[in-house]
Amino acid sequence: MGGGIVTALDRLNLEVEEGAFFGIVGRSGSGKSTLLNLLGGLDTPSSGSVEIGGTLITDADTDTLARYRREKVGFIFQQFNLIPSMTALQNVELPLVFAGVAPAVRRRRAEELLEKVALGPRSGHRPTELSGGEQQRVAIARAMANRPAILLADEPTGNLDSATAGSVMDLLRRTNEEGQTILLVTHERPLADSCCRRVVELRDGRIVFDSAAVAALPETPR
Amino acid sequence: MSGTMRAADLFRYSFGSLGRQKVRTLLTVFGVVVGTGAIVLMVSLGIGLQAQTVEFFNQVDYLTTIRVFPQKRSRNFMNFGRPLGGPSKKLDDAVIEELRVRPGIATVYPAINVFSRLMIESEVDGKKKDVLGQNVEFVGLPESGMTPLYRASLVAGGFWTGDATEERLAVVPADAVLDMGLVKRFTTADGGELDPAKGDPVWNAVIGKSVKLTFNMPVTTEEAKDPPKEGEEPDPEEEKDEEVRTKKVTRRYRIVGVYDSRNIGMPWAPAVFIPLSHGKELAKYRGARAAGADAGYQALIVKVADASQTDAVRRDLESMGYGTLTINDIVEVIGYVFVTLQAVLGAVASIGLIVSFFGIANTMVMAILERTREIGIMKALGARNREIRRLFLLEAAAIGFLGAVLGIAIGWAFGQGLNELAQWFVKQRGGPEDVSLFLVSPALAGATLAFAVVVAVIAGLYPAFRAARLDPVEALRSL
Repeated sequence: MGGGIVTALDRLNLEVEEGAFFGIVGRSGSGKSTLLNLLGGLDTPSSGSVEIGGTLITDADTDTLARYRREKVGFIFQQFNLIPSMTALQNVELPLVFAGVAPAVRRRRAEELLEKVALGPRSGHRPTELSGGEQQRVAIARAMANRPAILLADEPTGNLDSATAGSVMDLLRRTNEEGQTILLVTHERPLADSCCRRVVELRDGRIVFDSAAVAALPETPR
Repeated sequence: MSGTMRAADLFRYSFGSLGRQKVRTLLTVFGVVVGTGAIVLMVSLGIGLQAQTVEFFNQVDYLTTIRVFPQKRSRNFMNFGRPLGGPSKKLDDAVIEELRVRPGIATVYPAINVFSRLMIESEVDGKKKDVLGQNVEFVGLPESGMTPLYRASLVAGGFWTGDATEERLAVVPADAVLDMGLVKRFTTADGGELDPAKGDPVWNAVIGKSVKLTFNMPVTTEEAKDPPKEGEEPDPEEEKDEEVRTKKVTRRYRIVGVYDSRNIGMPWAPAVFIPLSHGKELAKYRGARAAGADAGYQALIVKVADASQTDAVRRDLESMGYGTLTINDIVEVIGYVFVTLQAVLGAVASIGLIVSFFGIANTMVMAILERTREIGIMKALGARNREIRRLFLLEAAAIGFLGAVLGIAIGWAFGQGLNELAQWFVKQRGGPEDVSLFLVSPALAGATLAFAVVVAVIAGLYPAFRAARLDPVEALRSL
């Protein structure tokens, strides 16, 4: 903002396999949010490329990016980011509304998803009538509405107490076990370690740790 | 899954958003209500007045009348009725006979309109005395010109029978039918003015009374030698001027009927109907100082058998080289006047809508500031820029639409109220029953609605484009 260019991410190479539960950890300012925005098609890199599920989104125009977000990714935010004037059900339906799905079809899908996150009976409630954990579960249901190739979760438990955070992480883990690729961004290394199969740590826009690389190293001779 | 947002959803979300800030939405809508209400009220006044006027002329009697002139006449607004020059035909009795047998024509007679001073004689203390007169139009009327409309306008007495011939000219005094307004000039026995309602037997009291017509006729040497005609009183006050010698001519008439000029279209010009032959004679006197007596009539009146033939007969007459004017020409010119009036009224009233334009723009800018984060969320969920833009444009249009519907309804209702008031007021004064000054036509309602929606959409353009261009990352970061 003050002028001058901030290089949030620098010469970063990352590959996420299908079905992975991938963790990115790092302190604030490490570039993890920027990475997430790039992967989510909300932002474009000044150089380099992002390819997800066979779609190259680097030089895409706004419509293509919108389509990419609509079809390939699901966002889960720290702030939940539900639309306050809509009920839980309407929030979950929203991505399908933008995709032009018929009302009856998207309603059935949203109800299924709310059942899945154990909020079936609360589908008519507005976000203000739900607890933080419940709101995040609605957000997770919404993120999965369009059957995305990848779920991008940005500090999904950052605004929750530890008990609630645990249940939200359990939900994500179960979702991953059903085959959903998830990319988790957090500043808490233990949280990532507890559930992610691969963890990458970022510092100043570069990868300083990769659990996959560590595993591949030959054992140090004693 | 790659489809675009459904139209029904666009409408649902846009209209739904209006309910989120109810008070602000309502206030903005009221701005549009005032603007559109003012337009509807003011323009409907113009339309109502026009309809009132046109309806007034929309009577068979007028629709079957063609005025024929020696020369082509202008039908333009700016110089309506003015002779256009070119060849001139003479309108005389031979022409009348010729035209009378043309297809579609029921009757033809010369248009005799003479302006002269009408003196009213009244008996005060048993002595006949002239009271204040006024300049009125004397209209020569043949029996064929006494249409049902003219007859229906009579409130007392009746028209004379038969066209006055040369012999009848000798009868002193001649017959005349006066307008109610003129009759009011007669003072009653107790000195008060006559002002009874229509249909009151009091009107009958003036039947048989006499009035005088006077004018100063320029005297040429020839005329001065003429012996005074019958019915012309020897005039002791003959004015003798050094330069222009004039002679005061007086004619006496007996009132045989009273009519209501408000019913036959010329309430602003009270007239006296006299037999055509008398009219011709008067015209000859009055026209003496103009062209020679053989110049022919200034105009003829052609009555068509059926209103549907008016256009055909007029074309026939025009092809013969005559100039013509019909009531439709007048209605058309009146149309220009009223369209101009409506445009002016509409333009003045549009100021309200222009003010509400800023209200809508302000409301939309506020809405976008409040919903910046939401816009970011919608973008993250895959909304295209153009969908965001449409959502906000539709929201603005909805404000315009709601305001216009309410405004049109309120403007209409207000006009109806004023109509009621006007009807009551007119009735109090014995005028026609059916008065509607304010008339909301479907075209006015439709145009107002469209105008308001267009204004609202234009007001929403800047905010909507701004919303669509928001950077999703920044938008998600906002509160």
